[in-house]
Parts: sequence; structure tokens; C-alpha cells
Amino acid sequence: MAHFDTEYQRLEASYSDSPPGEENLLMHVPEGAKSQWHHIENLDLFFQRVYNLHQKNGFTCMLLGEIFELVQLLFVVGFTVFLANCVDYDILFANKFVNHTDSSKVTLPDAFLPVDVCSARIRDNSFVIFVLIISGVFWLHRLVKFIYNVCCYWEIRSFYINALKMTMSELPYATWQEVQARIVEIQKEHQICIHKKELTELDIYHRILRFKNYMVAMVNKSLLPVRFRPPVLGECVFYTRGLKYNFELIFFWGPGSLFENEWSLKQEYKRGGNRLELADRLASRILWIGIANLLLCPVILVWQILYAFFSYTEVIKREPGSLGARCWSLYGRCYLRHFNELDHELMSRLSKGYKAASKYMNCFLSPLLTVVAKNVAFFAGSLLAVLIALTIYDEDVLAVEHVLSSITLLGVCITVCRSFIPDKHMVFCPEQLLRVILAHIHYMPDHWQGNAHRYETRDQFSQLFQYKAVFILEELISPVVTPIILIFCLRRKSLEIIDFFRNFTVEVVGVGDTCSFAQMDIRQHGHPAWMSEGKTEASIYQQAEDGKTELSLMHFAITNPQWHPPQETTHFISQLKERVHREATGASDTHPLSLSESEPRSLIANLLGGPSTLNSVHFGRDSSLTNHAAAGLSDGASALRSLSPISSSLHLKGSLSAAHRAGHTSAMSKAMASSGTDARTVSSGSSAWEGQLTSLVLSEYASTEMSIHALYMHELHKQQSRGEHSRHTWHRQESDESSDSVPDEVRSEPNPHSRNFPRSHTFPTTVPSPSAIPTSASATSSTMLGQGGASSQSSTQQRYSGPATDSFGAGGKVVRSARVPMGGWAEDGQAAPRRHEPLPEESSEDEMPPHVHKVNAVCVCVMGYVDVACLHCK
Amino acid sequence: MISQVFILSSKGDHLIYKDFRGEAGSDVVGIFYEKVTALTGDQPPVVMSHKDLHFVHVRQGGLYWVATTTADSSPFTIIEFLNRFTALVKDYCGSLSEKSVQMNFALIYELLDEVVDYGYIQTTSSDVLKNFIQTEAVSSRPFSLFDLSNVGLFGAETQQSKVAPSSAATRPIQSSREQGGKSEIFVDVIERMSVVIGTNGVLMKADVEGEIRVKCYMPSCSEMRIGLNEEFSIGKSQLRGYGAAVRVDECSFHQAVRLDEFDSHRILRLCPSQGEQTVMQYQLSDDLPSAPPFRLFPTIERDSGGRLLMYLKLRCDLPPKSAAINVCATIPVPKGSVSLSQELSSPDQSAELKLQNRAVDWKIPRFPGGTQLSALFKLEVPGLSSASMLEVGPVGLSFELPKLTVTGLQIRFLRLSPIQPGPSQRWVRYVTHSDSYTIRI
Repeated sequence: MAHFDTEYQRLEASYSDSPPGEENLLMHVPEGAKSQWHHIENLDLFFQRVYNLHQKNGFTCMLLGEIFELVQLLFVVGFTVFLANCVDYDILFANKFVNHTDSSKVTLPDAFLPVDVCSARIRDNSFVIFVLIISGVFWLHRLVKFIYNVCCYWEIRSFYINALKMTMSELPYATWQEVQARIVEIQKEHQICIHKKELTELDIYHRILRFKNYMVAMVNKSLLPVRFRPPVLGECVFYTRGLKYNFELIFFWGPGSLFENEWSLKQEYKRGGNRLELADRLASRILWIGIANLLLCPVILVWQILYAFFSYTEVIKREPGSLGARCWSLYGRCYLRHFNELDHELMSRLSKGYKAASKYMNCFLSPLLTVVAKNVAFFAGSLLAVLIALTIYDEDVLAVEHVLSSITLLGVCITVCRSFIPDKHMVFCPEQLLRVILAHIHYMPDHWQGNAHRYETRDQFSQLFQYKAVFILEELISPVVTPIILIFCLRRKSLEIIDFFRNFTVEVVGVGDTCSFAQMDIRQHGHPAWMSEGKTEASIYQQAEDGKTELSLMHFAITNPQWHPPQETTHFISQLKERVHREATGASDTHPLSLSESEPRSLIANLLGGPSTLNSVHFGRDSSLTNHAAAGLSDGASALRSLSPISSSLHLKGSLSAAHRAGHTSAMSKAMASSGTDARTVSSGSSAWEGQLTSLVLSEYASTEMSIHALYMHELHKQQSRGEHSRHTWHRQESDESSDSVPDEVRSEPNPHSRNFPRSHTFPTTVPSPSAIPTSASATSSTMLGQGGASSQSSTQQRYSGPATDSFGAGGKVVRSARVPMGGWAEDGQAAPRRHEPLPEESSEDEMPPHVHKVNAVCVCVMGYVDVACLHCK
Repeated sequence: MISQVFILSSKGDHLIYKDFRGEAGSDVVGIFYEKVTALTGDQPPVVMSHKDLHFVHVRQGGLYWVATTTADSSPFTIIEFLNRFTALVKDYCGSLSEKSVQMNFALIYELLDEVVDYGYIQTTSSDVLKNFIQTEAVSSRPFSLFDLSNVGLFGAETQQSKVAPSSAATRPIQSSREQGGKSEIFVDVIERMSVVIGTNGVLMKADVEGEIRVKCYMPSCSEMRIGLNEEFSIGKSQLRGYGAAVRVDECSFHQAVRLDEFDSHRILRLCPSQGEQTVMQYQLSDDLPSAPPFRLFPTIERDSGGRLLMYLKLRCDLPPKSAAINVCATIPVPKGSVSLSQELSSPDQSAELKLQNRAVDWKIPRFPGGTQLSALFKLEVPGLSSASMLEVGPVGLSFELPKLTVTGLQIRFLRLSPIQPGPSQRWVRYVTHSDSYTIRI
């Protein structure tokens, strides 16, 4: 053997299991340019603070906000106590007379109790003292935290100013992506992280979102006990802030938690050897924390009540409707969150979906309630009318006791009832709405698609999108329920939890221990049903559910175009993008001619055609003049086209230009353009688009692109996973199209829940013929459309010739009522009965070969033109 | 059945000669040497025969270790015996060299007497032999300043207490106390890299073979436990989850190693006998956990005077705190190169033209990680044509990377039980060296 010059090192006497080569862990920091931010010890906290400061729009804003919060807290507590104890309500209600010598007016100071009486009352009331003490402790805690934060964030502020070269004043106008790019840039000179020469975007995300990624993964793998089946309520999800806090306490940072510090899991949890013992330990820890929760329950309960009172009373007073409003639940946020998605990204995504989601939830009104509400509203209305009439006649009526209050009450009552009475002129189509929602929220269980109109789907969706009031109520009962969940549910899962953390933790150089799902490695965590077939090596245990890995990867790659993913991943992304691109162009390019095309074409056509109706309808509403809408749309389209070279993917451009080439369907192309993009973006007008391409626009574009990818992947997944079933769905959709409204046909479907639909909505279960209205609306301007469509559709011509006259009537009618609400369209009441002719082709349609069914999806888009074409031929 | 055993120096001097059975004369030594030297090429066949006599030889430490046999005994047995015998000699004499064999001829004869009896192999276990071998080895340790630094003034911690020279492990296992016969254990983790890097800088082949060797100078030691990295995983199946840190494709262990704690804690248990043993061997193919240590950026052109210009930039991608030593880059040059003029970036480097190999050797004694060295060679090649430019072939690198293992394997701890009373010394050495490291141009 060769002779080596290498010296022997002493192997330190270690009778304990010290980590390998302790001296190697001491990093050598090279001398030289030593800046203040060279080698930051706790990068997790540092990046979190950098992010927070950015999200809170700079140091001054944050400082002011926090100071006001402190003052507000003090004020609310003080004022509540004052109201409760120091006001003589008898004087205020004039039950007791004040002995004033000069005048009979009651002044406000008269109603106040003297200071000594007041303080005595407070001192006597032990509950008030208790509340005061809790609030005091909490306030002090906040104060200490505030002072500490100021010190920390001052440092971050100077980091922004000196290292990132961004002043606080420009911070609110910089996107996080810009800040991040600068951080990546300065790593090269300052070396914030010493383990790596260069930081990637993913590293920063990993550090900021380390624990959140774990939570998302655990929710994804259904590890956390958040779904319950209490005897009466049916399946429900209970996940509150208190519970979340406890989970985090147990797993991440509490004493004896699984993590040693912010960035590394404890050594013993990385080994499989003593998992049982560790699970026992975790179980007992959960038990103790549960017991502590139980003991502290009264305190937390009081605190929760106070907190809810302080934070919501003002809101409720200002706009009482907000209680009826909905919000994305905490569970929903976890379920819908991508891996490596920052708060603001999630928030903007969910906010975009909010409108559609609340519209979707509003589709479901119980007919029973409607009947009751109508009648209650009638009685209350008549009473109110009488009272108001009397008041108008002589306003002394108001002075009668309780007349004013009863007027107010009746008004509230009517308002409430009205909310249960559906608008006569509104038509919803749940399937389309759900698709619009999906474009924003990106995740959805498989069985929702095609079942959007069912009550189960609605109930499950309401788990993600709950009433604000329910949210507050859950928060209030959380102190009682949390210990029960901890002790009885979470404790049983301790072994699984230990296994989860061991199996799904990887150490990444320069980041530390992180959740392996967050690496977004298709090979390790891909799901074969989600496009990663053949690429994934994951066992079922390792697969992320709902295509989380794939969608997260796409999302991250799209939001961070600078990021260089590993090779296989790049391959996956480019392949997917290429596919979407190809099918987008292919579908729009060829669909008028190629009805016999195979299924992938239909995918993109379907999903582009799907939401398009909604948005184009929306535009129809926005600008009552159709040509105005068309102008806005083409602006949007051209803007998107001009943008697309900047972005890495070109598919939109492709689809757009192809659509333009198609020419004869200008309205179609516009509908396509608006389909992906957010309505707000396009309707924001041309000025924003023609101006400089700010990063804001880019991010908007990125979200659009992500929406398309999400829809595409869901669509593909649907086709992959349920071949036979999907055909059925297609069929129904298709038949709805062709008939425009065939309630009989719908009733014949094996769908016991269809009767849950309010009949007053004219065609609740039918999918509306997409673009029938917008095309027909714009058809007046584009006469070309008719011939092109008609000639190309020779094969289907015969089929649609039947309802042609019908749709002529419908089309013409809708042109007249140009004011169309989003997610549905207005319609004259008498239109419905006229269209109840069943289609003679329906039976023969069923006998068609299967591929025709798929192809029919393409027809969905085309359908409108055919109708219009026929009408023009006539 | 072994007829004779003899040791020859590379020049053919008889160092040791022992005849066990008297079946052949002593002239066979000369015959063997003639047969070996008559063959061209670097590696003569291990087994050669002359009339009815078979020669089996191994070459170690620059010496020929030869056994002859007449009967049809298994050649592998004899090869294994010779290997073990060299290991024994190395253990007893400290190192294998012509000088040490010459100095310890008495000891080696004594060993041979015990190991082989009338041509039959008895034992090669050092545990058994230590009861019979009485002769002490004579070691020739050159005087070095390093030994002086050993003397700590007033018990001060010296450098010596942290590191030991590599020669510290080359001492005989049986030596008197005066010779510094401390009870020590040396653990070597040695990895050999075979790497081929393509013209475009792509890694075309990367294999690592490694071994853990233990050299034990403990007079009595019942059990030793060696802890490896906990994240050590074998094969591709265990890649997942925590600890993709250290991975090898396969490994094999010395037969004395007990693996009952290996699966759960990555601990090797063994009862070492005195001397050197290879405890574990492992290999990793087609996958380096880190970037290859060296990258080369060559520019080769012809200048106006008909000379060949080679501008080489060599970058060392090791972590900044480690360094490569004894780096030697061998650059094949066109046939007929006459002379070389060089521009090197520092004076401690050297370069010379080896005419018989038709190559330029560029030697860098120390090459810190994260740095880049450049050299400009101007070769005087009469009649340089563009075809001969192509003869500038793949560059071979030889180097030694101290305190570094490519796979990341580390010795976590080494425990002895029963715990030794005195201050037992445990030393570890991590070395990666090049088996063949070729960068194509």
C-alpha cells in the first residue's frame, strides 16, 4: 500500500455517543471581508423577520401598528371595566332623576359614579379582578415582546438599509421576490449562510416555512387528528388556533419537543432503533400538555372570550353582515397550502378564490328555509310598513316606547330573511363555479368534480370555507375541546408521528433538517396518478396526497422563475409546460375542424372553455356594451401575449395567437384569454398592461399560469383516475350543453340529491352552454363567425339543428338583457318553459362510440358557435 | 505444501531463503529472478513454472515474496499465505522495505519456522505467534525533530498530543517499553477514487473504494467497538428519510467483525488481534456525494514559433479548510518533444518533462481547497503538426486528500472494553487518494 503523508488525528476519548467528529462541525470562517451579517447564527429567525418586516411594510408601519395595538388593548380593557362598573345606568335610562338645581338636562358626567365608589365596586368583584389580572399579564407579555421585537427588527431594518440597499419607504412597493433576489445576491458578498456559497430561493423558503411545511405535510398525510365524527354533527373538522398552537408546542418548540433548535431534529428521533420508546415519551408528553391545557382551561376560556370580544365586537357593530360572511378556515389554509408557499402568496390566492367560493356556497339554499323566510319576511315587512307609514304621517309615533327599537328589529329581521331568499334572476352553475374556485385554490378532492351540485360536496367545501361566526365559535370552545383532542386523539398517534418525523426529515446542507416533502422531489414523493407516473419511486406511504408534490413544484417553479431545480425536476416541469402549451395551441387551433381528435386535446379545450364563460359573462356585465368588453378583452389578450416571452412558458402566447389565427371566432379567443387570467387583471384596463412590466404584473401572470397548470393537472388526473366514470360525467355535461336545458334528462340521472336544488333557479344542475351568451352577444359584431362555425361543424350540424331555433330565441333574448351577473346569467322568467323540448338525438347520442363522448368535450366550446352559426344561417 | 520460501529485493539480492523440503536446489532463486525480469510489462504472472517447480510470488514493499511448490497445491492458498506472511512481517518489523527485512532477518526466520513446518502451513495468527516469537524487531527510525516536539515542557500540551505522524503506525507490534511501546490503536479510513472526467467537464465515471483498517498495539484487548456515522446507509434502498449523508453501494467485513449492533447503531464489534487488519471494505460506484475534487480547464494551441503552448488551469473544489497534498498531474505530450519551459504560479511547484514517458509531470506539494492554480507550459516540438496536437492526451492526476473521505464516512468513536487502565491512545486517519483520476482533454 502506498505511503501516505497524512497525519493521524487523535480520536477523542468519547464514551458517550457524541456526534461524529465534533471538531468538524466547527466551521472555519475564512478571514477577510467581515461584515455585520457575515455568518448569521439563526438564519431561520433572521429570514422570518426579514419576511415579516417586508409583509408589514417597513419598520415604521410595524412599530406604529404594534404601539397602537398595545394602546388599543389597554383602552378596550379599561373601557369595558369602566362601562361595567363605573356607569350608573339608572341615570342614563332616566329611571332615576338627578337633582340638578339649574336645569333638567342630564349630562354625561352625571351618569359616572364617583371614583371611590367605582374602585370599591371593582375591588369587590372578584371576577373583574381576575379578568383584569389576566389582561394585565397578557399586556405585560405583549409589552416585553414588543420591546424585544423592536430591538430585533431594528437590526433587520439596518440589514435592509445597509445590506439590501432598500430604504424603508420603498419597502411597501417592493415585492418579496425582489427582496429575495437581493438576499440571494448579497449572500455572495456577505455570506450570511456559511455552509453554502450561494443561497437559492428554495433555501430561503425552507427556512421561513420549515415548520409550516411539516404541518402541511402532516395535514396532507392525514396525520393530525382534525377530522372527527361526533355522533350528532356528522363528519366535521376541528382545527383552531389553540389546537394549532398546541401542536406546534408539542412538535416544534415547546420544552422537550422533537426539535433541538429551530433547524435540527433531535438526534434520537432520527434513529429508528428506539422508536417505541420515543413514542411512549411523546405520548406521555402529550398527556401532560393535555392535562395542563385542561387545568388552564378556565383561564384560556376567559381569555378567548375577552379576545373574541375585543377583536370582533367592533367589527360586528360596524358591519353585522360580516358574521354571516365566510372565511377560509384554518384547516382549509393548511389543506390548500402548497409546500413552500409563503403567507402572502397563499392569502392572495385564497382571496382571489373568495368571491367564487362564496358564490358557490350561496348556490345552496335550503328550499324549506326559503319558504319560511319568505313568509317571515312578509309578516315582518307588513308590520314594518305600517310602522313606517305611521311615522311618516306623524313622527311622534317614534316617541312611543319601543317603536324605534321594533322598527330596527324588524329591519334586521327582514335583512336576515332576505339573505335566505334567492334572487329570482340569478342562475348558478356549481360545476363551473367549482372550476373557477379550483383555478385559485389548486386543491380539491377527486370526488368533487362532477358532484359540485351535491350537498356532500358543499358540506365538505364548507369545511374549508366556513362561516366567520362558526370560526369564532370554534375558537371559543377550543379551550375545552383542545385538551380532549390532545389526550384522546393525538396521543394515540404518537408512534405515527415519530415515524413521520424520522421518515420525512432530510438534512439539507445550508438549511438543516427539513421536511422531505418540501423538497418537492417527484422521485421520492410523487403520486403516480398525478403525472409523475414512471418518475416516482415513492411507496404509498411516501406519496403526497392530492398531487401536492407536483402542484407545489409547479407553483414554486412558476413563482420563482430564477430557481434552478434539480435535473429530473426540471425535466418534469418542462415536460408539463410543454404539454400544456401543446394542448393549448392544439385545442384552440384545431377544434373547429377536428372533432374526432383524441382526448388530450379536449382537456385544455374543456378547461379553457369552461371558466371562460364565467369570465366573459362577467365582462358582459362589466361593460354593458359588448364591443367595449371586446376591446378590453383584446387588450388583455395582447398584453398577455406581450408578456409571455418574458415568462418562461409560452403556452398562453401559443393559445392566444392560435386563437387569433382562428380569426373567425374573435369572441372565442377573448373568452380563452380571459379564461385563465383573473377577471380583475384583464378588466383593469389597458393602462396597466401597456405600462412598464412591473413585477406585480409578472406575479399576476404567474398566478394565472399556475391556475392553468392546476386546472390542467386536475383535469388529467380526473381522466387518468376514473376512465369510465368520467365519461359519464362528460356525457352529462355534454347533454346539458346540447339541450341547453333539459331538466327531465337531469332528473333521469341516478342522482338522489339533485332535488336538493332550489327549483327556483332555473337550471341549477345543468352546465350552461359556455360562451353561448357572450358569443351570441358579440355575434352581432362578428358575422364571420357564423359561416366558419357552420361549415366546420358539418358532422354535428345535424345534431344541433334541432334546438337551433330554440337557441335563437334564447340568444336573442340574452342580448337584450345585457346585464349578466358573474357565475350565472339573468334570464326572463318565461324563457324556461319554452325550452323544455327534449332532444330527439339524446338516445342516439348514447349509442355513439365512447370516443365521441370524449370528443364531445371539445364540442362544449364549439357548441356556442354552432348555435350562433345556425341562427345566422337562418 | 510449500517447498521453499524466499524474499528477493527488486535488484535480485537474496534477502531471505528457506528450504522446507529439500526438493529443489537453491539455484531456483536465480531462475526465478531471470524469469521475472525477462518479462516485459509491469506485472509478471503471479504463478510461473519451471520444469516441475511452480513459483508463486507477490510483490509488496518493493520486494518479491516467493514460494515454490512441486505438488499440486492450490495456488490461491499459497497466494493467501504469502499475503498473510507479508502482513505478519509488516506487523512484526513495523514496515515492509528492503532495509527492514535486512535488519530483521533473524526475526523473519523465526517467524517462518513457526508459520510453516515441513512445507505445511501451521498458523498465521499473530495471537498464537506472539507466544512463540521472542526476538525483538530492530527498527530503524530516522531521527526527526518531530520526536523532540514530543517532549512537552512542564507538561504543556504540545502539538504531539493532537496529531501523530503517519509513521507512528509503522512500528513493530512487539517491542520493549523503552522503544515507546505504548498501547495504541490506529484506525485508517482510506478511500481510493477512480474518476474519469470528460472533455466537457462531465463526470463520466466515479468509483470510490474504501476500507477501514485497524492497527492494534494493545497487548490485551477483549473487545473493541467502532462506531461509524449513524447516517451510514448501504445500497440504494435506504436512501430515503433522514440520512442520505453517507451512502455506499456495498460493503464487506472482516470475518471477526460482529454485526449485531450494526443495523441499529452502525457499530462494528470486533476482538482485534495485534497487528493490522482490514475491518471493512466498501465501495461506491457512479456516484460521488460531492463534486469531484479537481477540475481542469486546458487551453492548448500552437504559437507562431512552432511551439506547443499548454495553458492549464487546475481548480481544487475541496472545502476551503482542507487541502490536497502531493498532487501530481501527468500530461502526455506529443512524440518528439524536446524541451520544456514553464511558468508556474508559485515556486514550490515544479514541472519536468519525462522523456521516456512522453509526459510532463506537474507537481504541486500542497493545494488548498477552493483555489485555482494555473501553469503555462511551452514545449519545443520539432515538426509539430496538427495531428501531433491530438497526442496531448488525457491528464492523469495523483493526489492525496488528507483528513477527508469522499463518502463522508467518519469514525464516531472507538471504545474498548474492558476499559484500559492506562492512557490508551486512539488515532484515526482519513485519507482519500487517487487510484486513477483522469481528465480528458
